[in-house]
Amino acid sequence: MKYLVLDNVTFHYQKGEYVLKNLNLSVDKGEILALLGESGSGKTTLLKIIAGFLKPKEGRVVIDGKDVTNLPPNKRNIGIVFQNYALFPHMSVLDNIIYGLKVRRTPREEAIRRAKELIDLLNLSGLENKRPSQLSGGQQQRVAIARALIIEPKILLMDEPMSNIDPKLRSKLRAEIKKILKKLNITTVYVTHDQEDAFEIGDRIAILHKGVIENADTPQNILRNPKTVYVASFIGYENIIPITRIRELLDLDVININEREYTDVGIRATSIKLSGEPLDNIDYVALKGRIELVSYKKDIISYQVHTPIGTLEVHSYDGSFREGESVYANIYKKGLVFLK
Amino acid sequence: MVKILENKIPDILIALLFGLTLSIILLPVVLPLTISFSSSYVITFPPQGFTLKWFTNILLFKSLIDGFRFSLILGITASLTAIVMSLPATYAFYRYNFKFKGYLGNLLLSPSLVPEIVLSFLLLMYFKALKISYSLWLFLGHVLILIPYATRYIYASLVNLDVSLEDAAVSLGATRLRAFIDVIIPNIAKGIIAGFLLSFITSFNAFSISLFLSYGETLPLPIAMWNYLQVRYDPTIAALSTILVFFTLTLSLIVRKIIGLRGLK
Repeated sequence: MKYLVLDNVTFHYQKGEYVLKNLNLSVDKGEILALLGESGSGKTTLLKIIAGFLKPKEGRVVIDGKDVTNLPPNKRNIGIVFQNYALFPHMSVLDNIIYGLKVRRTPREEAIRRAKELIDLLNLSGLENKRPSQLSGGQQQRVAIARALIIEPKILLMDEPMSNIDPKLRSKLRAEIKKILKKLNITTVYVTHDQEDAFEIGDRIAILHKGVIENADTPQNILRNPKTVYVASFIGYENIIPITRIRELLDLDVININEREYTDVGIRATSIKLSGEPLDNIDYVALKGRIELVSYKKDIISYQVHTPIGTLEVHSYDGSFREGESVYANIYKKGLVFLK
Repeated sequence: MVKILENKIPDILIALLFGLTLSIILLPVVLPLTISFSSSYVITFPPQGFTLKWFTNILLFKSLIDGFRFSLILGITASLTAIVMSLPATYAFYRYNFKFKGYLGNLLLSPSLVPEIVLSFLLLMYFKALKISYSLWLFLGHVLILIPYATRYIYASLVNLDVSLEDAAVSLGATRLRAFIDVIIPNIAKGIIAGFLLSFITSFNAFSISLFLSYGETLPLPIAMWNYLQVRYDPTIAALSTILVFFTLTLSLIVRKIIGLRGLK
């Protein structure tokens, strides 16, 4: 069920300079969508549009079947965990958490009762009377989450929540956050520029580039089958080769690909095998080449191999090949990813 | 040898220099104040004898008492007005980016760049030309010279405030106004109070603008003191000055206490 729908959203500050262009994206009820993009990709703008701080120039924002495009942010019931948490410095942890209920004129006793549930859930017991400045980064983050969750938001937006957390602790915190979000079945948009962040926490990942969603899919599908050249290079495909160069060497009909639809082919460095003689295997295409460079990575050997279709990067555990040596680069056909 | 030079001598030198500097700054202020305890009927230095009669003597002069009261009221109202006018302006500078922001910021602070005596004269011409009621001249002039002070202190406390605080309150359901009152005001209260107190001190001490723009029987204290000195040359004014020094000093200490030394940078 589509719970949050961004329908053809366009935004620009100056005409012609699009920040977001005809963007379509939907998030299911209870799903965690990781919105992944580099700085300048438009992800902050998109977040502000969902929250209501910015109004799209065109398109609609629909939440739970209701068009909220013209609804101000304080009427949208969206919880936000800000990048620096934006905890109110002059209020105690408890007062921070119940602020949303205070604004809603909930009686204080009931507000405190509801806060206690979240305080237990987020492991904040004993910190109720502390000021935000007395808390660690992780504790501040949990207070920010509790404050956003107490209003029982329709959607939770998290803006780079790990950027102020010690890198060593991030993985553990992500797992905890994911567990809590799943327990509460809360629809979440998690904005990040960090791939590790996105792949660990997202049920689905939407990759934003220059105001366009390049790819929105499960982490596994994005890794195995990136849709575009940008996504493939972003997630680290070592070899991206124009389809025109590869067409004659590979029998594309066998793979049944409409080449007009695609521009490039992505090949993982681990999908290529080096050998002295061409591999006698129908699953591979052998290219004659020469090793230009050998470099040692942490647990693998990386070869730069000059071939008729360009220089390929090949990763192997086999360290027996030398620079200048003639070899065959055998490309695993099923490892080819066709990119737009 | 070098080691000794580095460690010992500079310590003594620094202490000496510090004492010297301090005495150069403080002596001209403190020594004349001792005249207020002098039993001589004219202002002489060094002071002779000891008496407190000059302090009680202040109360006998209506112009000084009225001047004090008038300066107090003028200082409070003008400072409050300057604060109220500065708040929305500084908030806009904090929250939004707009064209010519830098130029407008300088413009807002500019009265402090014009010599007060020049400003006073120009305002006199200006108010006269606009046919503004005489009774408002002093008030308007003071508000004008105070705005830069008020603005500076409020802005200093706003600038350190996370811009997303207000958005956080709004996302939790508060209106913009409610968010401003609940979240922004408590966090800049110190800056507002400090801005108010420093504006007040500035207004209380402002001489040339008060001289140029005052009108009628009741005069601000600095002008009343100046007029007094034209006629009499006894230590009453010294006694009053002693009181004023402690008055301003107390206010300054309160400001320091509120915003701390770091806030003054």
